[in-house]
Amino acid sequence: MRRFLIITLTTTLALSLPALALAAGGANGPAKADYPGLLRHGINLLILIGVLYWALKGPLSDFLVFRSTEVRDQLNASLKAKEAAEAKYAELNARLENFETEITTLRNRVRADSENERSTLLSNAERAAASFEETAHRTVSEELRRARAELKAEAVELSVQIAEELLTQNINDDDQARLTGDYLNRVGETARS
Amino acid sequence: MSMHAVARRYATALVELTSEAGSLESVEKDLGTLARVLETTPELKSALNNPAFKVQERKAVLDQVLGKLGAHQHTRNFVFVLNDRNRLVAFDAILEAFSAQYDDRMGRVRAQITSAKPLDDASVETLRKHLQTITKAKSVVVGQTVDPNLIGGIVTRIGDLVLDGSVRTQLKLLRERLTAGDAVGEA
Repeated sequence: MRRFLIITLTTTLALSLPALALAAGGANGPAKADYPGLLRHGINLLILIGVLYWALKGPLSDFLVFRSTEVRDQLNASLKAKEAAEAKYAELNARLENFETEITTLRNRVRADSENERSTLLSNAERAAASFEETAHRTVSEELRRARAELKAEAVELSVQIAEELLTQNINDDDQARLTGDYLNRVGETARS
Repeated sequence: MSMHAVARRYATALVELTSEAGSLESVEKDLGTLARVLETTPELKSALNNPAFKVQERKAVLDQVLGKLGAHQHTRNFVFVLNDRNRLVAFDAILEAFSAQYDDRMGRVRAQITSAKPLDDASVETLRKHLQTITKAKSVVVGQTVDPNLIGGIVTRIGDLVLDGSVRTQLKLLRERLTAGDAVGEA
């Protein structure tokens, strides 16, 4: 702030001195070479240049250093970008050169993967089919067994019913007497044992 | 208290009392006769169990019935006690408990013979003797019933023991064996 005030005052003074000199000369007749005036102007100019140098030396130096660093960083970054681009270019170039080989490798890999997938699917399908077949066999066997058991039970029931009806209709007093005798013999054997 | 518990208490008291007095057999016969009378005359049984009649009125009827039966004094007293306490409704259960205790004391067992056709006396007697040997009882009292559903043969029950010689049971066993596959091989 102080430096700004000094610069302002010095500049104003330097600019007002030639005007004062010109005003003083105008009252003395036609213009003549004014060497003292020129000297003063020269001194003023030198003072102005000195003040400007003194005032602007620091910021200008800082600016130039900053600018120099910035330019150097940008140059470095550009260098790195250039190197990266060159590397990428080299890689792409190399890949391009191996493109056919990569395509062949990729094709072989896809073919192998497809073959594996096909084998897996086939294997799973075969297992599922075997499981279905086994389940179907088991179900059929169970149904057969159940049907056989039901048929047998019905046949037994019918046979026993027929036997019961025949016995009820045909059993006579002699049969009853024989049954009674057998029963008494068995109870007698139990009593003796 | 349940009917059976009440019946057991009365029966036990009667057995002990009449055993000491030597009137156990007489009282057992009297109660059996009275039970048959009540069974054959349901109106009498109904009247004796009817609370609409006074105790004295029922006692008078019982006095006449027991008098005609020539019942022992202990029998009369016991039946009157049942009447006084309105326990005649439990008479059948008391008689059953009394008979069971009487049988125990006398070494007697009761067998129930069921046959498809009535049995002749000789067969019943033979069976009774065999049962006496099996149970080692002093005597066996046999009751008979006829059940045509047996088709043929005899079933005898003595307590938990069952001697089953009926055709019906034979058919049942045959059905079970055939169903289980003992008699017919699996295909």
